[in-house]
Amino acid sequence: MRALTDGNMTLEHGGPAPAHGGRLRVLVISHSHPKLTRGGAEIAAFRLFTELSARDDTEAWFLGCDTSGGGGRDGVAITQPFSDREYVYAPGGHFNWFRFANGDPNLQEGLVALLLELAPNVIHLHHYANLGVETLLTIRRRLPTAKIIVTLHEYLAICNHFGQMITRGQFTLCDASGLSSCHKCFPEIAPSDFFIREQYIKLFFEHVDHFIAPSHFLLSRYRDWGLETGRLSMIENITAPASHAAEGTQGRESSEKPLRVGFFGQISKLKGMGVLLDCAAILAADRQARISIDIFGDYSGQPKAFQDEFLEQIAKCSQNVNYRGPYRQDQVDRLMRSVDAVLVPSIWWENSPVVIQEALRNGRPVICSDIGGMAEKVRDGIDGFHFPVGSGLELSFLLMRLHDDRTLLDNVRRTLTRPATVRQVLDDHIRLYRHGAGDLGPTPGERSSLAEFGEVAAGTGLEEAQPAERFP
Amino acid sequence: MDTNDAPVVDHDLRRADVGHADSTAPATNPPVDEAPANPRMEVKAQIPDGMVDLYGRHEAAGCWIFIGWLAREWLAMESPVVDAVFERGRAEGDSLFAFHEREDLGTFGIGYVLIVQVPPRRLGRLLRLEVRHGEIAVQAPPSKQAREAPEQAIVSQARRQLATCLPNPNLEAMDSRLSRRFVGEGYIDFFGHRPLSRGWFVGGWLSNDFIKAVASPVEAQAQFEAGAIGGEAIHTYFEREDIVGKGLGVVLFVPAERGDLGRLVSLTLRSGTAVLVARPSRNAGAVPPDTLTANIVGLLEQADSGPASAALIDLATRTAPAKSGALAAQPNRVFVELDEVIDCAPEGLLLFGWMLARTGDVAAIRLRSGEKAFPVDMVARALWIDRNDVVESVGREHGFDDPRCGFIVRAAPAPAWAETLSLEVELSGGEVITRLLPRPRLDGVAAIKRLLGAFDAHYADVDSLYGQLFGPAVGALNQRRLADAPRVQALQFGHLIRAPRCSVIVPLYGRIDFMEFQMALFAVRGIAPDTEIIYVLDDPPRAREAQFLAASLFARFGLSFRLLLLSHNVGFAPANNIGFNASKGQYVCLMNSDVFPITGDWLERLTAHLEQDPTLGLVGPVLLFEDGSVQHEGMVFKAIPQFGGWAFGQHRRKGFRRAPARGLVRETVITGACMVMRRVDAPAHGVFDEAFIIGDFEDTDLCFRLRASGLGAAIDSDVAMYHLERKSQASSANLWRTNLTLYNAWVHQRRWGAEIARLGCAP
Repeated sequence: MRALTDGNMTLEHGGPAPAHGGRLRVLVISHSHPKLTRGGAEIAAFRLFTELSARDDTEAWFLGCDTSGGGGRDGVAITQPFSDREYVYAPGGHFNWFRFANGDPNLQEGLVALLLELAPNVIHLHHYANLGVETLLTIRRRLPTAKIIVTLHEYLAICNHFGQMITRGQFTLCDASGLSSCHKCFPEIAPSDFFIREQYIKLFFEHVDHFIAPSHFLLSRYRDWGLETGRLSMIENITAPASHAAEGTQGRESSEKPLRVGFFGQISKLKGMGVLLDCAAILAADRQARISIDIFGDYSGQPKAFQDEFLEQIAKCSQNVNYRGPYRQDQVDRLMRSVDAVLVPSIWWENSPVVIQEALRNGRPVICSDIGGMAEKVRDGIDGFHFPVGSGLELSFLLMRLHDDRTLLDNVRRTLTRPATVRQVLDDHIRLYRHGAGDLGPTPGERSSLAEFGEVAAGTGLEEAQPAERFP
Repeated sequence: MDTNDAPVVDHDLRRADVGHADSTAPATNPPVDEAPANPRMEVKAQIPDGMVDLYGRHEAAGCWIFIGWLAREWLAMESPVVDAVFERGRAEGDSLFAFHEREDLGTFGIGYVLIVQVPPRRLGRLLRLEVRHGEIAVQAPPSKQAREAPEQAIVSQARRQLATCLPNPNLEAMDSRLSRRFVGEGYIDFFGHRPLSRGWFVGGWLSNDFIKAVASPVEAQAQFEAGAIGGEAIHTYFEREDIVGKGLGVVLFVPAERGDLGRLVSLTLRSGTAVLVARPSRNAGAVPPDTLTANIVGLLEQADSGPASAALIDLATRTAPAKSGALAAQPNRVFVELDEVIDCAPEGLLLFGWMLARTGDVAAIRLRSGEKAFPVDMVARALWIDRNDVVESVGREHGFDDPRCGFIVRAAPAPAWAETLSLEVELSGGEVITRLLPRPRLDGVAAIKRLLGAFDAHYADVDSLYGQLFGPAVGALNQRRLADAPRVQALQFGHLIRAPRCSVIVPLYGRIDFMEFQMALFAVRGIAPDTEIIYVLDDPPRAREAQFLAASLFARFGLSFRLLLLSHNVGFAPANNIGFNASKGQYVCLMNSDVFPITGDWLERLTAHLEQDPTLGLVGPVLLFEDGSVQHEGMVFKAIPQFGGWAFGQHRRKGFRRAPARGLVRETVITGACMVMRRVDAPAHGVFDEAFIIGDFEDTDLCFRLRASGLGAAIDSDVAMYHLERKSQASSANLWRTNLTLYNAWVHQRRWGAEIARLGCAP
C-alpha cells in the first residue's frame, strides 16, 4: 500500500491496520441500496453488511447510493434516511458511466468526513459506479493503512457493452476487450477514447488491495485484462439455505412420467430464451417426447417485439412448454423442487448465477450452457450437464438422452455439490480482511474446513446478479 | 344542333332560392323511361344530355361558375374541355368539375358544379355550354329558368352544392377558389420595368384590411394594355403620413422578362382567399429604371429592414448582368464585374470578380481614387478560376466559352476602401469601363477562410500564389485580427505556487474532457509540488463546461492549478503565449491536451537535461499512440513536390514500434506537442510566433530560432508519454484548412528554407 499525499496539502488521515484478533471495522459500499432497488450487487453487499454486523468481533456500516433523483437533502451529499449504520449518497447527475468518473464537486467533503469519523480499517466496495473510481484514491489518501477490497460483479471495467463481453447487435461472445474491437462495437467512440477509459479505471484500481469475485472465470477475465494474480481471490456469493417449507418434496424417478425441466429468471434473449424455445420447437416436431419445460419468470421488461414473439412461440409449442408466470423469492425452493432439473441456457458468459446456487441447494441438477461462470459452477456429469451454448438442437438431444435414461439424472442427484454456507462465505471474507490472500483461493468443488458446521438460519433469497443499472 | 328548339321533356327546376339551401327539387315531370340507346347520337335530342341551371361570375376568384347536370357517363371523363358560349363572346379556360347525385335524374344523369378559370367579363346571355372529351362532346343549353345569378348568390349556391358532391380531387381546389373574396382597396402610384432586375416594380398603397388578411405568399397578376404578367410578388410595406389609419405604402416586385407591355391597367393581388384589385391613381405612370431605383431606395431606406425590404433594395440596385438587352450600354467586347472585396491593409485590397475579354482588348487595369490611380497586376498577382455561371449566361451570348474568367487579384499598393473607389478597365480602343468596388464584408478569420477556401493549388503554382497573392494578404489579415487581444479571466483552484520551478502550460480546445485524465495522472502518478499547472481555454462556448469540470477536478484530486478563460478564440500560438506570460516557472513545459504522462518523474527527467547541458534549448519525450506505436520520436524535413517543393516536418518512424531506449538523442527539431525549455531562452514575444495561424509549424520555428542562438533540441528516449493524436479529416470541405497549412508552410519556408537545405534535411 502506498500512502499518497499531495505535497501541497497536509491531509488528515486515519487509523492503523486491522491487527490479528483486533476488532474489524468494515465499511461496505455499494452503488445502490436494497431498500431502493433490487439488483444482485446491492443485495449481496447489504447481506454482507448484515452478517458482519451480527458478529461480535466486527463493526460494520453500509454506504449506498440513491439514484432516483429524489433522495438527499440540500447542501449535504451523504444522509442517513434509514438506520444509524446506513448512509446514502445522492449523486447529482455528474456520473460518467463510460469512465466511471464522478464529477460531483460536493461528494469529497462528505465522503472524507465520513471516512475520518468512522475510521474503518476495511473498506469493501461492491461497486464503484455512482460514487466513481476516484473514491478509491480518496480512501487510500485518507486511510493509508486501511484495506480496500472490491467485489467484481460483472465485466463492466473491461466491456462498455453493459459489462457482458458480447457484441452489440449480433451478441457474439468476446474473449477480451481491444481498442479496435471495442471501437467496432461502438463506432461512435474512437479507439483512443477506449484507451483513456481503460487507463483511467486502472489508474485508480492500483489502490485496491484485493479483488473478489464469485467465479474463477470472471477473475481470469480480469487477470487477462491486467490485474495481477496476487490481488484476485474467488469467494462465493452468500446463498441462503433452502427454506424449510420445501423440505420433503421428492424428485421423480420413474421414466413413465414426463421429464420436467424448469427455467427460472428474467425472460430475455441473453438468458437464452431463444435457445429454450428453439429446443421446444424441435421437441414438439420430433415425436411424442414427454418432456415438459416450465418457464418461471417475468417478460414485462422486454421490448414489445420480443414479448409478442415469446408468446407466439409459447402458443406453438404448448404441448412441451408451459409459461408459469413470475415468481416470488420465497416460492423459488418449492418451485424448483417440483421439477427434475433446472435449465440455465444463457448465451452470455455469466458470473455466478444465483439460480444455479438455488438449484444446488434444492438438490436439483443444472442443465446449462458450456461457457463462462455457468460451466464453472456446474461440473459436467457431477452437478449437472452442459450443452453447446446457443444450440437449441443440442439441448434437445441432451434432454432426450436424460429422458430416455433416467439414471443419468439420478446419479447426478447423488453427486451434486451443495452451496457454501453463509458461515463459510463470511469466514472467507474475514480471513481476507485480516490476512489477505496470495492466490486465487480454493478451486471449484473444494469447500473450506468449515463445511461441517450447521447452516445458519435462512435469510432473504437473492435475485439474479444483473449488470448494474445505468443511464441511457 | 340548336338546343333552343326545346326538347320534349325538360327537366324543370324549381327556382333555387337565394339564401336557402337545398338542392333542386325533383322535377314535376319525371323522365321518360325509355332512355335513348346512345345519348351521343345527334338525331335523338328528345332528351338533352345536359343542362345549365344557374350560372354567374366570381370576380374575386377570376372564374365563371355553372351549376346544372350532365349525362351520367361524364362522371367518368377526366378533365373535359369546356367552352361557354354567350351572346357576345366565349369563355374558355381550365375547367374544374365536381359531381353530385340528383334524385330527379335517377341513373340517367348527374348534377355538377363547374368552374371555368378565366377572368369573367360581361358577355350577355348564356347560349350553351360545350363540353368535350376527345371525340365525345355534349352541348348543354340553359334550362328554361336558367339565368345569370349575382356573384354572392352563385358563390354561396356553388359552395353549398360542393358540400354534397361526390369525392373528387378537385373539391378542395374548387372550394378554396370559391372562398376568395375581395378585401380592401389599393392604388398604384408608379410602376416600371427594370431590365437589370428582370422584372416589374410597382409602388402604391393598400388598405389595412387587406394587409391584415395577407398571409404570404402574395400572387400578383398585372394587366397591361398589351398583355399580362403574373407571379409571386416580393413585397414590403412602409408607413405613409397621408394614409395613417387607412393603410400602408407598398412596394412590389414581380419577375418578368417582358418590359414592353404598355400602360398598367390593374394589379390583382391574391393571398390565401383575400383578393384585391389595385388600380392606378390619377397621376400614376410608368417610370424609367433609374427613377425606379431612386424611388424604391428612397422609400425603403426608411422602412423597417426586414428580409423583403432588403431583397427589394438589392433588386432595385442590382448591377449584375441580365440578358443581353440590359448590357446594351457596355461596349460589346469586354465584360467585367466585381463580386467582393477584402481589405488586407497594409498589403492592399483583394478583389474577387470576373472578366470576359479577348487577347489584346484590355490595355490596362487600375484602381481609381479621385485623381490618383493605382495599377493592378492581373498577371503576377492574380489567380484565375472557373466561373461556369458567367460563361453560361453572358459568355455564350457574346462568343466567350472559356470558363476561366473569374479572378482573385491583390491590388497593392492600394488606398483604403471608400465608396467612391472604383476599378477602371481601359480597353485598347481607349474606352474605359468603370466599376465601383463593393463594400468589404468580411474580416479576421472569416476573411481568411473565404480567401483560402477559394482555390486548390498544387505543384508549381503554389510558390507564386502564396508569394504574390495570398501570403501577404493572409498575413495582413492575421496581424489585424491579433491586434484585438482577448480579455483573460484567471481562475485559481487551490493555492497559487509562489516560486514555481516548472510551469506546465496546456491549451484547451474542443475536447475539454482530456483535462480530467491529465489531472488524474498528475494526481495519482505524482507531480512535483513546485510545479504550476496552467490550462488555457481557447474555446469560449465551452467556458461554463470547463469551469465546472475544473472545480470538480480540484474537489476530486486536490491538486492546485489555474484555468485561464479567453474571451474569444485566438489560436494555438497566441493561447500558448498567453499561458506563458501568465506563468513564472524557471522551466516551461508546453503540452497538448491530448498528451498523457506514463510515469510520475517525466518532468524531472526532462528538466534535468536542461540543467545539465547548457547547449540544449528544448527537450521532449517519445510520444506514443494508444496502441503503443510511435507518434513522435524526432522529426525530419521533407520537400513535398506537390506543395511547391517546400519542406514539411515529418515524424520519424511514425506508426512503427518504438525503438529501444537509448538516452538523450539530439534532433534538429522536435514537436510542440510536448516540449520543455528554460524561460530565459524564450523569444521576446512569448514562445510561439503568432504569424502561424491556428496551429502548424510554430514548433519547428521555435526550434530553429533557438538553434540560431546556439541551443539545440533533443528527445529523451527513456521518457515515453502518450499522444492520442486523432486522424485529421482531409476533405474538400476542409480545403481552407489544408490551404492554411500551406500558408504556414510558406511563412516557415521563407524563413528557414535555406537553413533546412543547408542542413540537408530535405531529401
